[in-house]
Parts: sequence; C-alpha cells; structure tokens
Amino acid sequence: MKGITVNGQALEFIHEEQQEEQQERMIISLLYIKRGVAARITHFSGGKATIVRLHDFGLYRGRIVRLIKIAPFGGPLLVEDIEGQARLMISQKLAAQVFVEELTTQMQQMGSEYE
Amino acid sequence: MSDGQGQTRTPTPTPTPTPSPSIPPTKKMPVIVLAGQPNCGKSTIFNVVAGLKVNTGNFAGTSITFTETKVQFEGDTFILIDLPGTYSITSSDMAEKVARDYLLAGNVDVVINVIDTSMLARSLEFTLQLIEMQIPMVVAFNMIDEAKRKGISVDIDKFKHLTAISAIPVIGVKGEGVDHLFKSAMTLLRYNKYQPILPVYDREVEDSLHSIIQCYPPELHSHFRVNERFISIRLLEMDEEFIKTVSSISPSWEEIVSKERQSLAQKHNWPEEEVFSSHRHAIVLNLYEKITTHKRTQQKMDLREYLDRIIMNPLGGLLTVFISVLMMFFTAFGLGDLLSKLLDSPFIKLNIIIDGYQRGIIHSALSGLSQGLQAGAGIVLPYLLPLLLLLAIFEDTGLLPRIAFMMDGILHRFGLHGKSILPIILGYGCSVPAIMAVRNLETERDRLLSRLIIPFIACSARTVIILGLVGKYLGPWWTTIVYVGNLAISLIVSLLLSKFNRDISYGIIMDIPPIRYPYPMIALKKVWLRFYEFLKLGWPIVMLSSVALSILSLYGIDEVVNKILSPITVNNRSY
Repeated sequence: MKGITVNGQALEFIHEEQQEEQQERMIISLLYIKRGVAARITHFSGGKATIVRLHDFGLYRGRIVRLIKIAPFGGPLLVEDIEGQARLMISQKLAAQVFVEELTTQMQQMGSEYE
Repeated sequence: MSDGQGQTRTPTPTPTPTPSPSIPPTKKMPVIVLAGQPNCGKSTIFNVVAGLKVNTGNFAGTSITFTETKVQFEGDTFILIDLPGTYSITSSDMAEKVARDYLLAGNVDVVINVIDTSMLARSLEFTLQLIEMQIPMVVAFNMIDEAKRKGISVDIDKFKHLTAISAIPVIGVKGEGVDHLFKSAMTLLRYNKYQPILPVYDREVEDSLHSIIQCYPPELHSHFRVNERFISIRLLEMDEEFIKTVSSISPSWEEIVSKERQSLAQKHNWPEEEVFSSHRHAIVLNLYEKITTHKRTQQKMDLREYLDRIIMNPLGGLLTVFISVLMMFFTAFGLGDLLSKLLDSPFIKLNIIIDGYQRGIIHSALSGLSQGLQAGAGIVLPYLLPLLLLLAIFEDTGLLPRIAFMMDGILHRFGLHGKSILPIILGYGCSVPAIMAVRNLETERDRLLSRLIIPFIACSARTVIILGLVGKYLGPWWTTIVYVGNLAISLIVSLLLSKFNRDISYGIIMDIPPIRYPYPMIALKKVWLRFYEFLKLGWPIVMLSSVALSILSLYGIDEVVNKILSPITVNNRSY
C-alpha cells in the first residue's frame, strides 16, 4: 500500500496493478478466505448503502485484511484491518459482498510488519 | 492539506458563505456539540464536564435521543450537546442522518470533533467531512494513551499546521486535556476566527468541482445554509438525500453534477458510488501518514490479552456468558436484597404514621404516595443501581461486543442480534436496566424486538416467586421447566415477531475494541446519569399511578375492574 497515498495518478497506477492482478489471481469473497492469511480488498458487490457502511469502517478497495476467526453456529466473522489496526465483526451476509485476493507470501510479509 | 504537487491552498474558487452564525454568540446561549464516530469517547468527555443534571431530548419528529447539559466554564455558560455517533456524513442510518441534519441546520456555534486516536485513519475521514462543512471546529485527539500502546504517535502540531484547526490531545477517561479542549472551544467562540485549510483533491476532481460550482444554482442558497462546495461534494459523492433535494429544486444542475461524476468514474475506471469517497480516502491516508509515526512495540501479553483470547474462544465465550449471568444473579440477589432490606425499614415507620390518619381521600392519597415511594426506593432502586453498574462495566470494558460476537449465531436463529444478549442477561435481574441496555442495539427493529421480549424473562422478583411457590408445591423439576420455559417463550415470541418484521439490513458490521480496564469514576457517572433518567421520568409515573390506584380503591372502582376481568382471572383459579 505505497502508492495510494498520493494524487490521482498514483491511484490509477494502483488500479492498473489491480487489474493485472485480477487476471492472474483468484478473487474470492471474504467468506471463503483461509484463516490467518492476509488478503487485499478488490471490490464490493451490493449497493451504495453497503459500500458506504464498509467505507465507514475503513474497508476501502486496496485495504489489507485478515480473517481471524468465525463465530460458532454460523455466526459473524472476526476480521482484522491490518493497517488500521482495528478488529471488526462482520456478518456473513455482509462479508459475502466483500471480494478479496489472497496475498502472496512476499506480500504477506509486507503486511505482517504492521502486526 | 497539500495535494500531490506539494502546494497548499484554500480551494475556494467562489466566495463561500460560512454557515457559522454572524450574530455574536452572546445574544443567545452558545451551543457546542460533540461530534465523532461511535465509540470515540464523546460521551465520556461529555460526562466529565456535565454536571449532575442532564437532559435527554428527542430530535424533532424522531425517536432518536440526544443528551444536553448546561456547562459553566470559566465564567461562561454554554449548552453542550452530545450528538449520536456518526461514521460519515453520507449515511443511511437514521441516527447519523439526524446528527448530520442538526449540524447543517446552522444552530451550532462550535463543533468538537472527538477522534479515537487509536483508529486515527478511519476517524480522519469524518474529520475531513466536517472541515468541508466549515463550522468552527476543534479536534480532540482522544484515547491518545491507547494509540501509544498500539505504537502510534501523532504529531498534533503538524496536524494543526496542515489544517489550521486547533487540536488537543485528550485522555477522556482520565479527564486529561478536557479543560484545555473547552478552553480552545471558548476561544473559537469568542473570536469567531475560523479559517481551515480545506482538503484539496487531485486535479481532475478539483476541475470537476470547479465547473460544478461555476453553475451552482442561486436558488439553492436559500435552501442550504452550508457553502456550495460542500453541497457539490455531497452530490459528487452520490449522497442520495442531497440528490433528491437538489433534483427537486434544480434538476438541470443535478444533471450536470451527475455527468461530471460519470466522467470521473470513467477516467478512473471505478464505480460511480466509490469514485469520490476513494479520492477522499487517498487524502486521508496522505494526512495520516504525514502526522503519524509507527513504532513496532514489543507488546507484552498482559491480562487483557489473555482475557481476550479466552472470551473469543467458543468454550470461553459460553463460559463468559455463564459467568456474566452468575454475576448478575449475585448482584441482584446479594447486593440487591441487602439494599432492599435497608431501604424498606423507613417506609414501615412511614406507613404506621399514615395509618394513624382518618380514612378518606387524604389517607388514600398519602398511602398511595408512600407506596409509590416505597416501590421506587425499595423495589427498583436496590436492583437498578447495581445492575446499571454492571451494564456500565460490560460496555466500558469491551466485554459486550465480544459476547455479542460469540452469541450472534445462535441469537440470529431467533431473529435477534448478538448484542441482544446483554439485555437478556440483565433481564434476569431487573427489566428496567435491561430495557435501558437495549439502546446499544443498532437498528430500530432490533431495539423494538428486544424491548418486547424482555418483559417475558423472569426477573429477580419473579424468580423469587417461581422458586418459592413452584419449588415448594410442585418440586424442582417444575421449577426448572417454568424457569427455562420463560426463556423459551421469549425466544418464541421473538421468532414469531421477527417473521412479521424481517431483518432487511445489509448485514451487521461493528468494532471489537480492545479490552479496557474500567474507570470507576466514569462508570459511576454513567450510572448516575442513567439513574437520573429513572428519577425524573420513571419514579414520578410509579408514584402517580399508585396514588391513582389507591384513590380508585377507596371508591371501590378496583372491585369493578376485578369483576370485569374475572372471566380470565377467576377461571384460572378453579383449576
């Protein structure tokens, strides 16, 4: 997450990078990522209200998150926003609308610096 | 704030009328509001300065409440309002909308934006939106100690330099910095000098904004009391409510904005809904990186860490719920009963005195009043106070969101939400604090459902009856069946009600804050303010109704009521 900090050009740069990655990597719903693996948010499904809510909690495209655990009896997910250092409880209904790509080991290390 | 080119300017291409009132604040009592994201510690700061009297009001036409109090500070008096927690200005949540509308109405003299510094990046999103609103503002960097624990240190002077807004480090729970914060707010109020450096977006967005503001329809000036840049940003951000209002007044301008938004989205190849907020996010991250430094702290595993691990484990979670119920029983039956006995004895003497009076309407009214007093002091107070304390501890330590997380799966099957677990647990002690605890739930639907099922749960008074009567005459098995049956009935009622009122929300998302040690003074103040509500509203109702009942019974009207209800009550007795 180095480029997103500057102006529009940098944003585009990130976006292009994402597009390339989308072609190569598997994009899955947050519901299905492995526990403990850092993953980057690629996009959201769902309407404006859903996106606003996710943004409210700091979940933007490009943000790196990690699934910590799932509550028993089909309960919500406990997700860590690695850079924001926040822990969030997200219902399965909402998590199904967040799409992520699991990061490679090299990128994982980058993410783990924040832990 | 500077953009990528490193230039800093105030981007006001057209003159913007500031919404701050031009009338000197001495004319009426100045209004200072606390605004910030949920759980940022606003209410803690409010409670630190609030006296013992606090008013709870409703926003016009809604069931959403706010608390306000008169504060005397260094010879000045102002009204301090604690607004509902708001994540962002663009909002679909009712409470947040109300908070936003309140800010936009133009009656606010100074905003104190309270920030949870341990989650700075996220909090700054709202701060930036508030800056764009251009209401005189002071920023309180709250929970600065917790941020330090996480290894985040904030350069507040740099923040001041980049935004031209005064900012104060605060530790609300300890009351540190709060004095300084209000001093700063008063200075702003007195001199009315507020010229923040507005956030500058990248060139494309600024160009869009510029061309939109160029053709800002003059008829909107009379409608919105906020500057045109703010309104334009709202529309670019696709804030549905603003779009609705604007398109009813000036549909042509709305169309222009919509085209600009589409072209921005196309240029960046991002969805229309996200393009503007993502740009703001980039500015926020930029600001965040400029004012913070991270230090990798070698955190020792302390008690809080261990507790967290235990609670967030399926078995540990259930154990925590079980211990919470035990704690509640202990508080209700141990402390509550003790207090109840202590408080009851003066009333026995009072009753003897009243019984000396001649029978008649005065005697009835007096004995009704005494019964009402006794009900409040002897029945409600001893259970309410300790349970309110327990509630405060659950909220302040971060235990509540954790239990909610663990129980959400089960409660969901009955149409409830994980956070409903606390009202249910408290309901076994006393329904009054249980219903008060319902306020923690997010949606009106969840609140209504929980409020409706709590009265079905056997509170401590009913538990005594169940144990005493059922236990004595029918045996332990029946006692268990009646007791568990109570919970079953509540859950069935909730299940049935939720069939009629389905959960249509987009799903729950909430913070799991770190485990915190409770601060006794903060918890006690919270207890007092909640208890004060009961004193002001609940108790008088109890007293009035018991006077009414007593007078009705003098004239034998209660007999008539009993007769009317006898088909229900008497038939049961014949079993």
